[in-house]
Amino acid sequence: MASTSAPLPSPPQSSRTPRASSSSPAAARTQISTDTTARGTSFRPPRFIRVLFDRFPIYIYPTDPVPMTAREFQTTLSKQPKDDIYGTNTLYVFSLPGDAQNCAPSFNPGCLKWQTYLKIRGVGFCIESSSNHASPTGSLPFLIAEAAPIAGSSERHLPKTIPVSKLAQWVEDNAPGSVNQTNPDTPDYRAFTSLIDTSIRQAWLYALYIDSTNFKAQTKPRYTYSTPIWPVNYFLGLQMRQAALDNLKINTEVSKITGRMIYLRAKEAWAALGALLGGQKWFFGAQDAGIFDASVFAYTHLILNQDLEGSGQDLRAGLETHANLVNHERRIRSTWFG
Amino acid sequence: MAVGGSDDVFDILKNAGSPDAVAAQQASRKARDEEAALKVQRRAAETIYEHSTQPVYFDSITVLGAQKTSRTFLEKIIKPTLDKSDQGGFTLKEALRELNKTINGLQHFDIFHPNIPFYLDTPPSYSFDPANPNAPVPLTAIINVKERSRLLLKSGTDLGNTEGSAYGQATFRNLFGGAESLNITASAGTRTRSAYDATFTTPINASPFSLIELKGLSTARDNSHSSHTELSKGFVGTVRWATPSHYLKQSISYEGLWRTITSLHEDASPTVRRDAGDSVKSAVTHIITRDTRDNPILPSSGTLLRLRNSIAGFGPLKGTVGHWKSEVESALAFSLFKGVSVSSSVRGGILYPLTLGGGVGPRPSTVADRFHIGGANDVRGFQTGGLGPHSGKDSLGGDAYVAGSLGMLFPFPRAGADSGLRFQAFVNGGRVLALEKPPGSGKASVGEEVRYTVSRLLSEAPSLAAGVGIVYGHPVARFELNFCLPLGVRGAYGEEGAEKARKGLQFGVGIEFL
Repeated sequence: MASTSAPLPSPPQSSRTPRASSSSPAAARTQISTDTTARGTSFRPPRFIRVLFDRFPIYIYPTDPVPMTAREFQTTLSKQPKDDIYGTNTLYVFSLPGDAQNCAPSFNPGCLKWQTYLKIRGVGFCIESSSNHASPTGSLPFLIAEAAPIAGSSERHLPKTIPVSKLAQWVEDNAPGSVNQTNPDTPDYRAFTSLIDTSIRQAWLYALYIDSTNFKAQTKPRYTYSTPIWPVNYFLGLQMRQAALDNLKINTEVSKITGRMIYLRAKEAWAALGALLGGQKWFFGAQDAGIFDASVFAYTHLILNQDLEGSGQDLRAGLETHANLVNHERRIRSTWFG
Repeated sequence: MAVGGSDDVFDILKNAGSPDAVAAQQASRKARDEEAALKVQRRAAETIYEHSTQPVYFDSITVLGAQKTSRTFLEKIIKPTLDKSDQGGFTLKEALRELNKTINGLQHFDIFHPNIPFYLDTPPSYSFDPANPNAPVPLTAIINVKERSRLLLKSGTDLGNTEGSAYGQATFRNLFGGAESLNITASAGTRTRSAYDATFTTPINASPFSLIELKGLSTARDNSHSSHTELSKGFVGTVRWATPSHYLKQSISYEGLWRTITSLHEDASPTVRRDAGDSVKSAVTHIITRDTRDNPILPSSGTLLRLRNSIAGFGPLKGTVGHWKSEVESALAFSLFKGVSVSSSVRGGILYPLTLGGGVGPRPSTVADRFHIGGANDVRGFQTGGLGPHSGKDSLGGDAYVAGSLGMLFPFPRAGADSGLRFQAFVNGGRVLALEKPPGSGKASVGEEVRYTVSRLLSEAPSLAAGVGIVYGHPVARFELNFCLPLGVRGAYGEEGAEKARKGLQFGVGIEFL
């Protein structure tokens, strides 16, 4: 099994800023498509073959409907099949099925960040509980964008899959909501972003994957809810934990000292973030919430609202001393997850 | 030199060492030996024939050379013969026939070298009583087996349905002396990217017609037609038994598989993305096959009927996949005249979603469980999984299908009927549908959905293709090169959701064809 299957928070993405989103994969794809057209034109079958092939098939029947989704399948709902998959933006995240139906916050910070950001930007979407295997990048989240209608027809194009690396740009192009004007190219912005992606994230990983109380009670059952069968959940659990360990770069024994150090650094990070926010409504003194607020909320919400046990309580205690961060979490929660 | 020419004794002697002369001598000696052997055989046959009605009984049957084979296992094979002899009224002819059966039984398990000689004699203590010539004569039989080596290492290439593979294999024969075997295989192929399995097989009660098979496996299968790779790890336990007199073969198996749909292509469709991830299939399957075809690779007479029923996730089976899957397959072949034969087959299947043990209501099927129909050795003239619902370039599979073909095989000019080469012409087609709600009803039970889907399946025109081609029936696999043209297809080329037909040449290799 590749490490991609371990449902960890997605790797730091915030270095890709909304406007500076790189388009190199798109460029590569264009390259490929020109390539195939070139090949297509260079090979031409003989005329009589083309004439023959053009006559067949003799009959063309209408296409068949695609299989029903779980939601369509539930007899209580009577949605038209096409509406559901083609007519909605769907963010694929780690979520329990019940939460997914209510668009409740994902239990994975990487997913929650984007879920929150899409809400902040006023994008209409529903969420679907999924797994890393489904994602084009190997880790969640990703978005399947609403299919564009074909001009002059009730049919729609095939919806596009937006990997997380292109999500920021997609939001810029499609979001109706307000724009957060914070410049992401300042040293400060970058420093605080990396603070979340290292100090806070490592503490989160430690509390949920290495601390066995939380791992057994929360992490494992949540991430393996779709296959709660021994020994599959056991192996998946091992993989997740190993991936977390690899991530923390402590491959051998996790001593208490390292754990304490990780929490200490997290505490410092909370203090720094608390000082950054100060008495303002949003980070960096912005008029509206932005992606930075979403990434802070992704952790603060989960740390404050999940009943972390064991060493996770230290993590929460460290956060709770900063009332402005707690209020920031409550503000986002009540505005967009009320 | 001047006199006598080649009759000269010196010439003869001079030529004695030449290769021709040696070969001639050897040939004549061989002929003489063969003649002698034949005479001995004929003499033995005459003796046996003369005494074929002589009452006999087996005093003992000894198996020599079976050091590693357990006594109880051999006893089970030999006992029927001894029992027959004990019943009385046993003649020499019957004794030989029974002995032959025993030897066939020994050969069957593949633990001895196939050449098994035997010797018949009377016990040393026996003396013929002229006063009572019809008294049963005691016989001692000695069967001389040679055990094959316990470990067999093998590597090679294999042809399966639409795929080729290379494999390495280790076989441990006669593991516990009862013809048990352990087979460990690792293979890499074009579609099954990698496969590892360990299979333990043991005959049931030393019978050649029933066995138990326990298998652990790990495979990675490239399902490009649905833009993903499917990993499976798990366990399969199977009981197989055959009723040769009725051409019947049956099996019941349990499988517990952990499957992962992963490594999605960049342009995978939303439907496949939704199904990606882990699932656990815990299923019981029953297969019954009645096959009277003369040659399954290239049949010219006989019929095939196969029923396959599988229940997954229901009740105590647990798992995360719940369904009842039923498939029926039938084929028919007959000769018309002068080597021309007709073959036809019909298949159909249905997947009925079931509520998992402890679950709330049935869940829809996933791309891993649905039927994918079409391909070079399925419905020809379509790509692999080319029929039925599609999204983007993905075959999504259907919950119900029918497929059929009608073909004629013609002899190949200047190649005999035994060559395995044939011309063929065929029409084949099928219909694949995902489960649908009847129109206008928001709330439909699964039963109603299945009924509606099946009624559509049977009432609408199938997607069709026809073609001509060359067939080569090799004992290992059947090769086909066809020129196909689709006749009726769902969706125009390039249209979203269209079926994937294939125009032009199509090459197929496989064991089973539609």
